[in-house]
Amino acid sequence: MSQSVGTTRRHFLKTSLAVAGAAALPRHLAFAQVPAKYRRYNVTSPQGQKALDSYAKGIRAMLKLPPDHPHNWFRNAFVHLMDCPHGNWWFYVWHRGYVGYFEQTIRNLSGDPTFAMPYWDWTQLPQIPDSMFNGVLTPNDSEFEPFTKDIETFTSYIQPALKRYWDGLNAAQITQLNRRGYTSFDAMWNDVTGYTATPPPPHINLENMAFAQTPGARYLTRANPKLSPDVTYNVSPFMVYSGLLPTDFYDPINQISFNSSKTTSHNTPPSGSNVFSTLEGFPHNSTHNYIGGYGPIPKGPWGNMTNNLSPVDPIFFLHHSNMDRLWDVWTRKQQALKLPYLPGKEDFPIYAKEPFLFYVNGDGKQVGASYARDYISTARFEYDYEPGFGEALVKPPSAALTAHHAMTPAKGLMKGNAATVTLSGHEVTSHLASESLASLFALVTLPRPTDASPDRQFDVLVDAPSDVNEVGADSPYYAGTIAFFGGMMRMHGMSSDATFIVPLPKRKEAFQGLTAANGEEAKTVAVTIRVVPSGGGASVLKSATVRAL
Amino acid sequence: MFVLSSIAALAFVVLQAAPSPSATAAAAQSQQTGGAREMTLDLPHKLRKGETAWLLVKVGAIDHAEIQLMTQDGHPLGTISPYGARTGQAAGTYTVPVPADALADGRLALRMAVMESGQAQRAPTTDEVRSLRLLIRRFRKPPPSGANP
Repeated sequence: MSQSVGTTRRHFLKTSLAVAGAAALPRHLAFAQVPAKYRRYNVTSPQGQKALDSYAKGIRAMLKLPPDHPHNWFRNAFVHLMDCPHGNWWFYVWHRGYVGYFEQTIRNLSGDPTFAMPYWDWTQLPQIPDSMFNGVLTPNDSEFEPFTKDIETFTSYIQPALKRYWDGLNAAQITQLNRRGYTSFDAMWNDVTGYTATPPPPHINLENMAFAQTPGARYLTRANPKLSPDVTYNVSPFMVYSGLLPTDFYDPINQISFNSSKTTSHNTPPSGSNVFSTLEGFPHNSTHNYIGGYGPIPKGPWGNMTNNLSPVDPIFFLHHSNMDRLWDVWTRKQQALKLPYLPGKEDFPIYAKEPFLFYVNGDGKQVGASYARDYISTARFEYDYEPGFGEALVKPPSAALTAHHAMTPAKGLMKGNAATVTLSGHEVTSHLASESLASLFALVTLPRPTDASPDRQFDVLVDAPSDVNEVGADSPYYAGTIAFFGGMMRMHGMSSDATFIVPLPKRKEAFQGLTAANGEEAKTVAVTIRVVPSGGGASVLKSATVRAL
Repeated sequence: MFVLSSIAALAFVVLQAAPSPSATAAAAQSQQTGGAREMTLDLPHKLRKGETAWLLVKVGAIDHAEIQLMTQDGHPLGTISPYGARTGQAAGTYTVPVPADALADGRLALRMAVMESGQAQRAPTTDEVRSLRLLIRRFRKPPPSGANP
């Protein structure tokens, strides 16, 4: 079903190449044995924050370039609109090429030769990183306004240059565009404006408009940066871990694959027959959509991230850096288990020869014809990742993890609206030490708000001092946010309570009893869980149980 | 084959392909309860050690709505949010991992609701959620000698 070739990681090279047989490696992957030159850091790390400074410099430079320049900020986003695959098995590999060349561009235009695109690990931080609201790192910034003030301004700025670009495309590129339904420049531009002739009379469908005005270009704000509870579940450790579990790159029979469906072209739009992989279908899709306001804002227009012009929002590249990291994690997990990590022998040639024709490299040149096989390895762009969520899957199972899986759910003793849960010190230590598999979760039950309830959003606090009734997302006691949509109470027959699953914090402050008086790990740790309104107030928790994934 | 998956349950509409007799026999009863559709899907057997449960949800054209999946006692299972879909375009099939503790006695008590901002939640139509399949998978273990092809 699948096969293996080389990758860039040093530790893998020491072990797996001997197994796979270096002689069997395709020529283009021979340089995979070179250690990674660049490292993509978690955006919350000091190195990730430093990278954002260079990223912002690069964005400013791209905004200043004329619209005829391939590195112009918006022209770069149109590469995605015109060529991106979704719902098929080229999703990861195409985006690896797209982000990789973009990273080169930022490196060149920022003057930072060490730049590597940081990643946003939404599983660990289910909110937009605060720094991504600074200056040009948000598409709401005033520096975008000369271009995206309104659709007329955007059209007069970019459309003539884009039309000239279109007129210069070769036959192979036009053929690919036709497969997307872009049978003419106007057909493509209709996705920008939302113009449609059906049903008559011709009209603008705001839901199909890819353009977003500056103020509405991103729905989430510095004051409201959190993903919704639904999206938070979609990026949760359970969901991401489950998405990494499949052992086949593509399994046409049983459909539970790491990748989405095999299609005839990467330009084939998703349809009823496409099967979305867990990671593409849930964390990828819903994070995109919610950032743009799809869900909270009725009927559009929505922000950039909801559609194929999403690279206009700089968060796009941190989001896709994380998706790419998860592919890398999955690949290395397969290698560690000595399982295949590419399509099978019959499928591989079809997968590998798919042409990608629209990339622009770091020097501002059209890459020309390149193929999926060119982007299978991270070695093409000489990077690796600072470990993030999921990395524990790559390591051999430890005794600690095994013990964690065997953990009996611990039900909290309720006193008022606070639950005290007693955990073993060993379980807590494993939880704090591991990044994924051993995570502890709380199942919290609280009453659904009534129509008259003033509070619809609640924060889950773990072992916070009793006088702490309001926290930010950076608090060591903060486990997550629960929010209710307005229509829920209208659901007939629904329970008056709702239960949510929330990962426990990864901070020692949330497990104050972990260290015994003698400095050793305590045998048992009692933690108090409360659920308080996000604006502050008394706990509304009805019950809590802690369990391992 | 290493795969143990099987079609365990059929939702409230006929699958695109002809269902197997066992799938038909296991057809779930669904009912509309106010703003949601509820049904109970049966696994062929209770999960065994090393097995995982998955729900495949085939979604038709929901335009820019979302479909929230949860158990009937309120445990979330995931929210389907099509990305980049044009109006009228079918959204595709979504692969939903089902936590073991969302199952009871080898059954999944499922609740599905269509969510559109500014409107009350409602039950999906048979065109919007075209089929459901509850599967069991045991992913393959590493080969004993570690030989890759």
